[in-house]
Amino acid sequence: MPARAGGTTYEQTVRITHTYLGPAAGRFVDRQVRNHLHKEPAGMTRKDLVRLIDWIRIAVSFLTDDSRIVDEYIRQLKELTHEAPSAKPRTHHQS
Amino acid sequence: MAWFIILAVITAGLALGLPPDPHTLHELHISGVAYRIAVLALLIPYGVIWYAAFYAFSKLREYARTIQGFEDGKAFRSITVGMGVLAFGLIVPTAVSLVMQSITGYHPGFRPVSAIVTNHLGILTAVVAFTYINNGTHVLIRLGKNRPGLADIRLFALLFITLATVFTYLVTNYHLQNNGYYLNTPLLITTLIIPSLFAWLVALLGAYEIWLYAKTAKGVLYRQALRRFSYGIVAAIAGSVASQFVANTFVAGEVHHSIEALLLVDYAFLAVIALGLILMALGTRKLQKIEEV
Repeated sequence: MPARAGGTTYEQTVRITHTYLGPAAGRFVDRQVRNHLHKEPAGMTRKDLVRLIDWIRIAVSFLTDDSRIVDEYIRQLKELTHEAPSAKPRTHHQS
Repeated sequence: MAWFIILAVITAGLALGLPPDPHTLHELHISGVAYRIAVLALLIPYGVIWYAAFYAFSKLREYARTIQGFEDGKAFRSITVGMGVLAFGLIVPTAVSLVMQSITGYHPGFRPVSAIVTNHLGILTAVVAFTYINNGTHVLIRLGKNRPGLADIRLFALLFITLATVFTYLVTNYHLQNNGYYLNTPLLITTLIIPSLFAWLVALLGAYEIWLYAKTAKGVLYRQALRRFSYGIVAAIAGSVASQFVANTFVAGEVHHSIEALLLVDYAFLAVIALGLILMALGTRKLQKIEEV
């Protein structure tokens, strides 16, 4: 799928999120990772994404009443957690 | 919003405190007190617009601060500056105009200065505000890699050429009839017609670009939030252009149309601007929410 072609878990998550939040996608994912996982976004792993998905569902539910949009977004993120990572997370940004 | 309160109080103070033009009182057969109450009543709809403008400006400023440092942040910063100039530009010329009219009442020789200052203050504000707004919308268009369609360009050109031709015809016609602008023809063309048309060109271009960006931007939820903002900015720009068109033709040309009709038209455009500004503020709140969850 072109939306998830290559990159780290973080990059793939942002790419999926871009379909829903456009230019705000990177900022949104960064905020979720920092606030809920307390780590630098670039160091995000598949395991982190599993933990993050519920937070993302809650956050996006504040933005729309259309449950189909939320469900589709979460489905894509869940699919990503089942895929093998195509690149290692960048840990040099980690604090 | 502090600026809104300060400027609104100053303007209301001027409307109530400045001595009315004795000729106007004589023509209308009313007392000074009745005249002041009438001016204040006429200013109330303007007060609503000013409030909407400053509210939209404050919401935009908050959003632009939240996303500063990002590419779209630069675009929204420029749009915010433009909106700020537009907000101040709605209220300051009214205050200046009240002072000028009062001076003219006692010194009729001051009328040309009053007309020139009032007309050109409005034009200067429009040029600066719309240029900033268009700078911002252009950054957004570049970011979104949106290209205007050929049909859109042709329609836009047709609309602008029509506007420019009718405006130039009316201004030159009124200029030849009674020189209500108090300028010679070369000055009228270079300082009133050309800057007005330039301001409207960048204004309409900005409106078109934000509409195009809102239609084609990536992100289904982002687009939903942006749609209301874009409708608002399009309405505010269209209302401002229409209002300036009337101010720089029928009013500035001192053409003897019915005052009631001119007021009605003016208030109708003000209502469009107010609606646009409220939509802009609501859209900005939605955009802001994306950055907060």
